[in-house]
Amino acid sequence: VTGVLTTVEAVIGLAVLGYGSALLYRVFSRVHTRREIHLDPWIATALTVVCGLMSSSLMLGAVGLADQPAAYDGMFTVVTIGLAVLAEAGPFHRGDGSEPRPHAEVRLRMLTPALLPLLIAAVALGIGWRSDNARSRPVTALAATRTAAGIEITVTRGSGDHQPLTVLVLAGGRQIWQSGTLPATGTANLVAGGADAQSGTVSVQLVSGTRVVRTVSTG
Amino acid sequence: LLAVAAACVVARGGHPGIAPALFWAGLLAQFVPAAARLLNPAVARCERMQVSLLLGVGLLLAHQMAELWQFNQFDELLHLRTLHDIQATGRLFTPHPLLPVSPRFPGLELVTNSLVQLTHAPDQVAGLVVLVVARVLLVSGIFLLTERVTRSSYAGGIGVVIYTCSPQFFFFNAQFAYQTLAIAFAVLLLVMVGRRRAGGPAAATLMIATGVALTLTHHVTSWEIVLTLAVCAAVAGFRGDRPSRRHLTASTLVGLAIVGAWLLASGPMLGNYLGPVLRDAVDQLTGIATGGGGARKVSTDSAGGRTPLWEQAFILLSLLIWAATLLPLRPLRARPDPEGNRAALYRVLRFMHIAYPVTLLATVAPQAAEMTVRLSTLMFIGISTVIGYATAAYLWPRPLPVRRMTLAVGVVAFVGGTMLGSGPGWNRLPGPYLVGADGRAIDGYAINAARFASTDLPPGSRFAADRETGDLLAATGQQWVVTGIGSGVNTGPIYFATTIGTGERALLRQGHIDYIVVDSRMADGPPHETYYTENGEAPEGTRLTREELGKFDRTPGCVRVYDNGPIRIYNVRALQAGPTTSAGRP
Repeated sequence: VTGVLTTVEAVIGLAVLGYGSALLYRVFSRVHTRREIHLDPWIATALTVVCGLMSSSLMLGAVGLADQPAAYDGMFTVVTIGLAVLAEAGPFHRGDGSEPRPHAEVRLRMLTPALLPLLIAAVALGIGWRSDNARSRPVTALAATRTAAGIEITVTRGSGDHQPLTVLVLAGGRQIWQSGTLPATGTANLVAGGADAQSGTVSVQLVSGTRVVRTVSTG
Repeated sequence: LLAVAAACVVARGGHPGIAPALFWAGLLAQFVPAAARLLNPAVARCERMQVSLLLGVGLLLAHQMAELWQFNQFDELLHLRTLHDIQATGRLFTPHPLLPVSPRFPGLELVTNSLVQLTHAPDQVAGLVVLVVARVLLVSGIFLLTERVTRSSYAGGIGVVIYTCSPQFFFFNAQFAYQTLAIAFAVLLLVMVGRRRAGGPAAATLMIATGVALTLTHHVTSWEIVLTLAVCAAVAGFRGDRPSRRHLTASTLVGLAIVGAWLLASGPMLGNYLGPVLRDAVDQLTGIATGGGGARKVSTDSAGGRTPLWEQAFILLSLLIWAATLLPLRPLRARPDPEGNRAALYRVLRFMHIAYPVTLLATVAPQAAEMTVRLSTLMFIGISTVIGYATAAYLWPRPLPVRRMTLAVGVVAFVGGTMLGSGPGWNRLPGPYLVGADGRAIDGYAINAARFASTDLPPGSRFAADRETGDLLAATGQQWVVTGIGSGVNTGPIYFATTIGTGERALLRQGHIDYIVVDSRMADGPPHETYYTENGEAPEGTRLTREELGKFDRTPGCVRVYDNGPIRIYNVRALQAGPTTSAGRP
């Protein structure tokens, strides 16, 4: 349900932003406005949208609502309605989008040469993202903390780390607990209980055979 | 873009020889055809604008290719922290542990946050969209400014080509940092000021909105623009152009009011941030002038890595090209004949052009060099307009071979400028871990340690950490990293001590430090970015040893709670005398 609501909200947000920008473009395309601001309408639109996004977060942040998506949806909807009223009034420049658009076939023919570079750019960005995403892969890690239930141990398996791993818990140099062989992937959450684990310094080791791979302790 | 993507993949695989070749091939595959098209006088204005935008956005994406999954440059992570604070609290001005002024200039983060809230896009995607929009605004602004002042769209296109050669264009002004958005606002403000006559309410509203947005985004850029407007007004007055003087003075006063009001609100914080930077720069320059200080070694980084000779040659040649544009040669003497505000603006832009080579003299001192390179962002606006017009006027009637020669000079300027602005070669491409090397020090181990801190440790715990891991912990781990600038305690000396003694315990106590992060790889060599942690950690050049980093395992009361191999996190609350900060923490 949350996912559906989020998607619906995102679609509404995008629609409001897109429609609002189109209306702004119409306003800036008006003959006298265009002459006055002396900027191409699309540049003025982009600039105003950025300023609008900034001011909305600023205003909502001032009242502690900068983290509320619904507040943004509401605010931008009101602004868009206002723009719709404003955009209907007054004469427009010929280049405001009201002139007849080229036939669909002509538009497609104009668009085709742009598709290949866009596709190549998308592939390049995909490769770049995938390459950078490799940094997020998990590395073999061990963490432990003492709680009322005992020693809570978290073992994260590194990407591509397939060695057999077990966890040992030692108190005063003496082994007081040992896990079974850990799963080959993912994160394992273990609890080492027992009276010996409840006080004093306890050392937790992640071992592969006889080799200690990682060590943590609880004070 | 494909070549740059391949360069990133190859560089991550540890093939330093092939990756730079692919990288430069990728950049030149964008620059050369675009510049050739823009140098062609027969191209229509619409196409010039399109090619300019393609060039600008293409180079931005090429820079971002190395960090598409997550921003990882030092400054970017600082701003990511501010963004996350806004999203976590719903409020503005939340204290920042590493860059206290950042929440006071949250323009970039506000725009990104609005996009995230409206579209539910991930922060990274929203940040990239904002960067692309900022780049589109910047490039169209440079194009329009040159076009309006010189009344030539041909000069506008060449102006864009020149601006892409500026040292900051490819690297610094493509980062998720406040200057990237601010410079776009700044250029568009100059375009709006450069109208022939004063506008009506719509123009005034748009100008004021842009001025406010600029002020909220970046301190220094907003001051630079107000200063530019003031000088324009003075020039108009000097020329006896009363309508322009009135208009420009009014613009200056409005700008001064906006910037002044915000300055009053954040003055002490800015003083604490910028004061030491200015003081260091002046001290270093004075030291060099009097023979008492060491000049900056342009060809080496702080870890002793040498810039290859061919790169040094390109950098030197690019600087010589810009210096040569000051010579009274015939091709460079062409001047447009602007009227009104544009006449005053053009003269100020010419001043920027003349001043740039002079500011380069300051690059002998490290701190002044950083300021100079950052100043080039503004200076190149002047160079783009002035040299853009002179080049256009010279090339208009010339045959193809002359345009090709000009393009060759442009390629040298572009490669040299990009090298100068992006610093050492290791900074341009991803690759294996390097000590204290900005994004190159943020690898899977650091990311996983920050992830652990974010999920398993209480948010806002106070950390001592090295420069890069600390930055990441603050940005994505939501922890408070204790530093001199943010908390008044420099934790660096703790790392350099051989034991945790009285002095180290006092620092832990003063900083109320809960955890210490130790990356054992710091003992592998000197840091590439001057410091392991922050300025003042130890005498410059002092290296960390394994024994110093190993003391945390030998000190009773120092509890290792996380270990991923190179990076370990220790709970050090027990080392602070007095009561611990909270019970029940791991």
